[in-house]
Amino acid sequence: MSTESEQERGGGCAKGRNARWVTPVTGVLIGVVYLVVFLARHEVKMAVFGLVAVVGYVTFLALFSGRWEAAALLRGDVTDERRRTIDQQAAALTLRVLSVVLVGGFIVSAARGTGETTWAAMCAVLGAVYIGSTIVLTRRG
Amino acid sequence: MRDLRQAKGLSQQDLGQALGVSRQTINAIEQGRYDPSLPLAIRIARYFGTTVEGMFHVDGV
Repeated sequence: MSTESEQERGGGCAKGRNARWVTPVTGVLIGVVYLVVFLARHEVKMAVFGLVAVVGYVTFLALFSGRWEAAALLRGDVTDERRRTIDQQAAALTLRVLSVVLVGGFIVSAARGTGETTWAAMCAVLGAVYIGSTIVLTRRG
Repeated sequence: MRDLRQAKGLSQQDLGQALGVSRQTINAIEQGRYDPSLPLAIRIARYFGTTVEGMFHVDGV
């Protein structure tokens, strides 16, 4: 119990400050990769649109994270236990929706007889990660 | 908790900094929208020089 308190008071805050820049920097990097890939395919409009969209998103997060808590969380500013809980609940909800989409995609593809192996592989990874993480987390207590 | 904080002349920001949590978390606890973990509840109680039972009440218990 005391370990968590110390992390939040001291080292955890410094770590949180660094983590605030992970999402913006990652976003810009993804935007640049997107730009390069689509320029290589000679799709200039898509390349520019992708970069502008990502840079616009991370700029919005950087500007509003001080005033709007949701923007702070989306920026990666998960600095205390409540924000961690919100982050975990959002991730769990996202996973549930994603699992429905993947299973739905597999069923539709299987019914059409096209591309169901890709959906099956993604469903298998999802299931394996869920089962594996449940085993590991229950053993860690 | 709001009464104790205001009696000390602290803002939610001040208390959040003292406890290592965000201003919004202090606000959520005061509004009853968030139940703090046991470590945080103990920190809050110690900060105000009282006990966890003296600060927090569970409905129906």
